[in-house]
Amino acid sequence: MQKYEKLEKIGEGTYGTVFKAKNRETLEIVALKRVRLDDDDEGVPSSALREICLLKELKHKNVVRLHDVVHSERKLTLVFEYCDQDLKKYFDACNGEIDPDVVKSFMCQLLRGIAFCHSNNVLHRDLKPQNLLINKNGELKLADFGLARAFGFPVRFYSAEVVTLWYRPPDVLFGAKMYSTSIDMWSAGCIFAELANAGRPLFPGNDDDDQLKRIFKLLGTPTEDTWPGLTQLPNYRPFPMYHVSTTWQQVVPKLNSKGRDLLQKLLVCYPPDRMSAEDSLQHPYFVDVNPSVK
Amino acid sequence: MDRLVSGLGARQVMQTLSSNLDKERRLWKPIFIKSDSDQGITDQQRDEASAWLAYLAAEFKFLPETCGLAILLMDRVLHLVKVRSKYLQCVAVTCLYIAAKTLEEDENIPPTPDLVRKSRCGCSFAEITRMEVVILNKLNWDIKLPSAVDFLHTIHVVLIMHYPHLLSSQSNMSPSEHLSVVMRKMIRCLTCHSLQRYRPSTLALALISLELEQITPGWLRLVLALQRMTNVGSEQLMQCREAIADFLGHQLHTGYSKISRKLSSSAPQSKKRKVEHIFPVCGDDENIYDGIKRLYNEEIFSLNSGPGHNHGVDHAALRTSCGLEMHQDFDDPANHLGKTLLVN
Repeated sequence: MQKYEKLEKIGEGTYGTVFKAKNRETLEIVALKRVRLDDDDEGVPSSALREICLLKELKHKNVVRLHDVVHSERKLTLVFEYCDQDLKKYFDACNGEIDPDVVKSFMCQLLRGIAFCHSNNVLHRDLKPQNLLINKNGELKLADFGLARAFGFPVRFYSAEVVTLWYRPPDVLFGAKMYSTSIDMWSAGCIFAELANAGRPLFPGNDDDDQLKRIFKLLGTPTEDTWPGLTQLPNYRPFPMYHVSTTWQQVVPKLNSKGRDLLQKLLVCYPPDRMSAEDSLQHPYFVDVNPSVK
Repeated sequence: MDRLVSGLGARQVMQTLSSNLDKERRLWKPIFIKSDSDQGITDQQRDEASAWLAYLAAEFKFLPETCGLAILLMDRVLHLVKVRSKYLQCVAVTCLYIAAKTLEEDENIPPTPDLVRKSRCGCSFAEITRMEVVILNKLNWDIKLPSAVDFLHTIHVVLIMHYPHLLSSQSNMSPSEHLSVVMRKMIRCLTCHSLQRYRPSTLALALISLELEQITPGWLRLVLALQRMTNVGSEQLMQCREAIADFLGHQLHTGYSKISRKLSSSAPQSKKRKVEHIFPVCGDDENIYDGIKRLYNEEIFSLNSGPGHNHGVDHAALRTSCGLEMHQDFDDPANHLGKTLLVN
């Protein structure tokens, strides 16, 4: 690790400490994710192994780049491209206001990153503002692939323990294990609303029940008619029949009508009806996206 | 049928196939085991170790993909490094551990002590974790090469997508059942060193072509179409077909089914490491599981038990089938068999 000069600690990732560092030769600034390996432990954490496997192949400007993996005495270091902050910190610093063009640019980049992952058969499964990195050029990159996995065919049973609560889709909240790319699209919808509201989370639930209630109060409680197979889900339980009383205009007042239309197409309870990342990018909302993003 | 490809368009399947072929072209090398001293690994030891991995993968209810990747990783290590035979088990079980961490969900990855205990691999978990970094560094952390299992799976999906009526002559056989039968043969092929000279894609296509020949008179046309998709040359394909037919045919004559029956009745005690007694556990005729369940869980290692043998099947034995973790009802065989937890 002589190659890098450690500068400062940036934060704690799912499985290791992250430092800002400088490549002594090229002077390039990088982020180092450091994982301790103990003999009496589980060896290389599965999340690190998956992240390395997946990121070695995912090379896209909206996916954080893994430059190198360095193993030294009882330590594993992942060398990433450096980004100044994550979207969470960006929200904290934005003083309750984000320019609509920036919202559009971030959303477009988020969807491009997701579309790229999905076309490479990778589900991220943990999209949230903390895992979206932003550099000083306003570029947004998907990061933290520790929960991600490649999906094969046929669609298999996956873990129900994925996605941070606030960004978890109702099917996964009901214990569905056969989700596919739609899992990331729900999270993208939640992040879109949060962007439009300058960092106010859309569904900040306290627990699974509260999370579902918040979702159903906005979208209406689903039934077997609107969601075939709903009652067969492993953790299905009935909820009060909420009727939609809030308009989308109230939910995201600063978002224009095209944006609201896209948001509604992402936040759909019934997974197969959720819009895909690729289709979302064709939505009229993005017609006039900032050319620098294009 | 639409469940098989739900959420996955034809385009995506083809994209997977071509990106896997591309990766194979870039990274795959024929496996020749490095061994020149009397302490090196022989081909037979390699075959025993891979059969043992197939058995362990079934024990831990891993996906067939995990088993395929584990054997591929082991072969790559044996190709790159001279491994002394006393370390072979440690290398093999570590490859399985790496494959599981890469492909399985966290809740299905055994903690290291469990892996050590259940596999009876004879090494400590400190040895496994040390071996893990050695192997990962040797392989330059390029773990996820497509194995023949991946190719078999993808090519099978392509076939069924293009020819949905392909299996209509096979009464009572759903695509997933068919896949699981072929998959079992594939895992057997992976335990034969001489077949690993062929590219994983060639191996998969050759096996599928042998299957197609038995199902449909128009098999040659289908195989030609698949050859065009996969760029597998005719000469390689023919050679590989013959080698597989030889190997599987030979296996059939060595009394596999008999051993299998014997084993399945004593399965709970049969966790011995003696490889040659273990591998035949993968039986052939298995109709007791619901096709859909098989489709999503792919328990290709299910213990052999024809319709007449249901009563003899031990619960513990059933548990060795791949991917049964979704099925909570182990205590009630009637409930267990044929019940599916298909959720949406």
